[in-house]
Amino acid sequence: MKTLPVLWFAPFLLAGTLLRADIPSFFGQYCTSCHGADEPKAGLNLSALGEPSQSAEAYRQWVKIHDRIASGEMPPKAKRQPSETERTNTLAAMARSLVDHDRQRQRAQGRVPMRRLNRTEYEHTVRDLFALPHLQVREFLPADGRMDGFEKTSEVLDMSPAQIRQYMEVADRILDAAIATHDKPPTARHRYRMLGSYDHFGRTVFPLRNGRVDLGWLRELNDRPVDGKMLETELPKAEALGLMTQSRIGFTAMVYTSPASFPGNYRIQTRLFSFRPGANGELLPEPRGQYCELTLGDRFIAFLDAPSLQPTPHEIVTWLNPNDTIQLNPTSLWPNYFHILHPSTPAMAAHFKWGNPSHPFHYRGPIVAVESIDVEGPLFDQWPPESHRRLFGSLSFGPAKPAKGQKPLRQFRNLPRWTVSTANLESDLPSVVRSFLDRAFRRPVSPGELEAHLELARKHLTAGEPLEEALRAVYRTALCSPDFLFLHEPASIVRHTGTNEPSLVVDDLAVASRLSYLLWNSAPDDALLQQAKAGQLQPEELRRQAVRMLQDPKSSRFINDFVDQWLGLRDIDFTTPDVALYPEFRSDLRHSMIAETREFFRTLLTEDLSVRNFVDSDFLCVNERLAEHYEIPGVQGSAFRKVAKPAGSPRGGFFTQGSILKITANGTVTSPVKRGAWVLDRLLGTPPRPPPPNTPAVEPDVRGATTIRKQLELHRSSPSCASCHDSIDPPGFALESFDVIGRWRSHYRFRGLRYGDPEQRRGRDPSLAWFPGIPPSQWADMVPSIRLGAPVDSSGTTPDGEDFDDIRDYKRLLLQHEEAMARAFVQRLVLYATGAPVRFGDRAQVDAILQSARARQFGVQTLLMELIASPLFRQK
Amino acid sequence: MNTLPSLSRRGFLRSSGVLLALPALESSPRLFGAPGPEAAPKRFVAIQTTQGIMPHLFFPKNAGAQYTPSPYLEILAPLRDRFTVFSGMSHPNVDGGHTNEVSFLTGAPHPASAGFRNRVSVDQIIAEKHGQQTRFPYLATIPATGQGRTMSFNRSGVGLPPAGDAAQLYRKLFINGTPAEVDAEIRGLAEGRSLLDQLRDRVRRLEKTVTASDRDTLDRYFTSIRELEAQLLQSEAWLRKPKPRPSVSTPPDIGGHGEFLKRLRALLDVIRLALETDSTRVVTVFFEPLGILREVEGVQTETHALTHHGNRPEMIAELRRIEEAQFRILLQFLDGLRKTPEGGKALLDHTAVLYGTCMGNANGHSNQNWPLLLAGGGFRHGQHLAFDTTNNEPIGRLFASVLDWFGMSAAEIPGGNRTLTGLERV
Repeated sequence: MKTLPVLWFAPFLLAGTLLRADIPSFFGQYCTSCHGADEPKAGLNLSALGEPSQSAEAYRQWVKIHDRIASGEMPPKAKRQPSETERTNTLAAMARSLVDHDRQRQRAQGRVPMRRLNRTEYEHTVRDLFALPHLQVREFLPADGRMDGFEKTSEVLDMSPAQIRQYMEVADRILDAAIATHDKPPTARHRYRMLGSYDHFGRTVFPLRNGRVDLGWLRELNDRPVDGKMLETELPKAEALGLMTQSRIGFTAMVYTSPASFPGNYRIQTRLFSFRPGANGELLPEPRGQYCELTLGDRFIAFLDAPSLQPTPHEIVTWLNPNDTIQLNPTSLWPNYFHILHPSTPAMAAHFKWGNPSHPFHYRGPIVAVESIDVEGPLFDQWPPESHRRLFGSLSFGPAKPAKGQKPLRQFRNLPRWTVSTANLESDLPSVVRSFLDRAFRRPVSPGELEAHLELARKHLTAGEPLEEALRAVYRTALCSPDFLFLHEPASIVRHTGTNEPSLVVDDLAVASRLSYLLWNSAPDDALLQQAKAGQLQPEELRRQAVRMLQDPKSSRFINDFVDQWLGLRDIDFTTPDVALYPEFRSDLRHSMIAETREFFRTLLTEDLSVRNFVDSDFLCVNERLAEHYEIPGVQGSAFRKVAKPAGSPRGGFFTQGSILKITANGTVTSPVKRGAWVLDRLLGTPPRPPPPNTPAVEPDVRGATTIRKQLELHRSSPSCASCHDSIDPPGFALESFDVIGRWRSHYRFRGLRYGDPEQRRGRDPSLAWFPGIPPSQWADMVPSIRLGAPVDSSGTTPDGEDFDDIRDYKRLLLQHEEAMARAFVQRLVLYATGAPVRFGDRAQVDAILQSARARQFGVQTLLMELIASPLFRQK
Repeated sequence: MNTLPSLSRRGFLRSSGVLLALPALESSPRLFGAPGPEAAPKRFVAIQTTQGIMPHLFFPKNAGAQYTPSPYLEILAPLRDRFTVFSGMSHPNVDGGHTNEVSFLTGAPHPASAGFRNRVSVDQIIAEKHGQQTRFPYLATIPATGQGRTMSFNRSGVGLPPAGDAAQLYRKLFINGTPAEVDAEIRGLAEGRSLLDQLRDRVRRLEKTVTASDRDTLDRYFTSIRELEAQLLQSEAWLRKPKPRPSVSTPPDIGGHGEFLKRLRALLDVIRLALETDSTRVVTVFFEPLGILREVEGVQTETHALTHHGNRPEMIAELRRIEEAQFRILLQFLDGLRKTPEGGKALLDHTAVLYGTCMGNANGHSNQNWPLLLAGGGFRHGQHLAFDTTNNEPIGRLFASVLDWFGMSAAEIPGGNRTLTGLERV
């Protein structure tokens, strides 16, 4: 990968048009034989090309032409080459003109067209605005468009009638959640002991008593028909409930009553432990780390560890809505492999009957036990709650007393209606409305705007609406208004202190919004707004604010969102691996994989580590589950922590992480092309071109009869394929050592005896070490079903002609492209932070940012800070 | 036949600056009996099954009217003369494997690329022109309640959200609200329109302070407001009309969690009722046959895993059962349309039904030779139209033929500049 010569530092003259310089003669000598009017190759006819100012398409073509000539790709090696001087001069002329074009454009209209909040930003904004940290509205808004995987650019954030309709509906939902309409609801405390439905009792879940599995009791329970009454009498005698996923595929360890009567914050407490049952029901130690996944509604909340024989308390305070259910699924437990093989046959039904190894009475594998689940709430620090105060300030709140002729209030619950009132309408109304609008619009509202909103309120009041409804109408309008939905960036021409170059620069309040939407996906807080209103947001102050904001927990929003979009993690659920071939993949692994990538990035950011760590790192961020997956010893518990990478481990960097390996595979087979393309695109910033039309697809053959390498033979033997695949395939081959769920493999896995193969046990046995804690009876089923076939060959040759044997070798070669990775990273940061991609005229600033970070080995935090302090961040 | 006093309403709407093509509902015989032969409107239904259709079991070997049916087409044999099967067709440069599903009705190229923007879908082109005649200009549907999966896209390339499952749809189409509910809805619409009035003023104020390109953004917002206002007005007009009474008076049994085939069947039943009662003329069905292993005998593996069978005969056998089940449901749907009389012919004669998938071969995510068939509508069927399997014929041409039947042009669809050779009208 050649680096582009740094031509755009060349002194700028007020450029002549491109067509007036030496360029046409250069084209005539070296280019138009292929790219002329007769048979324009790749559709490019240089004689018909207009100025970059003519159209966006023409501009894009000029940039492409410049870059291809600069990299040496054009003219092709086989054709006549220009001299170095000719090349340099032509490129300089092109660069001057493109930069000039961009500058003029920037001065006239900015590089960032006005953009609306995407739905993630919208949700976080309203959560902060109303102090409702778990408010869920994102799912009610249409999906946003994407550019380069990011949902942050103006170009793809469109507006339609459907969108506005949704904003109107969502505004109502938010106001319903935020406005208090009754007296403070009483706090209640419930203890739940049962998970699953009553017919699971004694079968899928079973009670423990006297510190053991009471086998006699268990037998007695199974002799009786299960009904609600039995549960009522027997359950209270239990000390804990044992959970096993062995009994039913898809069994959900759910509390079947919704604990929340009112929406609000609730405290959830539980105690968990794990064990193995002995032959007489005694509780034996469980060597493998077990845990439950706490899920509320359909939101994953946390892993709760269940250490061996040690009942461990957990407490979480979080929001519950009335229909939310609590689930404590023991996802660390292996699923029942027999059940996977025989999902709906008489054999399966017989398997779970009394007397069989999967029945609790006979089962000897690991069990997770839950002592109880206590739910207390709703908890309110104050009443009416903060969300209500954000709308109504300190207006009196009490039982509704409808005035004569007033329209009735809407009733939301079967409770006496409370509402706001005031004796001083004339002063309270403007104060309450202004306070909200200032916050919502992210800048002080002008007297004219305020007056327009007050008029709306007065109109409703005059029509007989109660105060609450009149204000609701105002707030609903505000939440749908362009002042709220769009990032309004008033700008003016300012001359840069160093170069005296004029450019269109946004005001301090707009910069504050840019900073807060970058780091928090939400509106600026009071401290930041203060500085903005006082006109104090110079680059140094911006840096200080950024440091403060990165330390705030809300910066997780940046880490999660940026990483998800940059690396493509949303595709994690795009495919589901075949559960019979990859029984290791359960939701705990899936959640751990995503968490790992985010934690890893957080570490790079917080410790300002070099972009080299994208490729390889001497540490990993793992929990016990991932450590098991990556075959790293000595890690216990479901919490994430930084560990030193063991010597010789192939892990480290992003692209050996489970999440990346999964999203670049398809659930059944891996694709070197997909993985290679990911590396080129996401890490190096040079996405490969799409395949030529009519390229036949590769039909994967999972019988082990041939390997993917042989099937991609054409990529090497055909020159037109090789031109791209010489770059795409090598990283993909290096990554062939990892399967579809990111496990290290030396041989390919394939399905075995499952379909009654007449040949006995083709291939080799899998290794028991990969399935720690699997019960022996299950293992007996797995061995004939999961077979190992052809060996993996992860060797290759880079386009520069360097050979590598495996991923470790390949990483060393990839690290040579450190600067290209830093550049690609900064380009994506610019896109994410400003709402527009890097244009030709912005490249100088990107170079400046890289230059400032060179001494810190392109540390991730330094790059971010340099961007925030750069003029680019303030440019419209 | 009753005629409602329509003049006052038309007057009101015209004076508010919005001209609507009011439905002929007041004088439509549809509510009261079979329409006359000249009254039967044209409909379009597109059904996409997203996990592919195995080509070796779908495409017939020989072309023309005497083609030998493939195993899947054998299932549709009772309706052989009512559909045409195509081979050698695809959307040019739609090469994104699974992501092709968003380009199924739009033909927008390179759906998997990072900067992809979709285009308007053929159902929306039809709905724009003909949608105002019916309570629902179009129905985008999906049997499972998945969020945001759609193949209908408006002119801005924005996906149109689906309309709910079969039960919800039935309610929307046929269950009248109580007078109190209707009043509440009308009030809601009025509040909505007044809010939009406010927003229009906001935009005008803001426009004065922004750059020229920002004004474009605000302009799009403004246009969206105006379009939404028109939609709300239209909804309000429809609100006051009683909903039709369908031939099936009880809502369908939509099946439980995991019963996807049952849900598909129920949905298609409701769609037939919707077409029968002229509640809509444009329908799309986005069907993702995942997780149906419990519903089909002999299937023990997840669908997507099966589609990557890697040529294993056991997996092909299982996948075949899943695909055959879908064809049987299609037969049932088409047969239902055939058995519904309308204007001296059948509902099927007035409804063009497109059925297919967006990949040639899901095993390798091939982007050529998409399995497709067209049933019903005013076309001469009963044949296999075979095009070049190496240099495919653009599907846009097929859309052009359908749009031509609707009296419209398909110039906006890639490849739609002329109609398909060999597909004739009757």
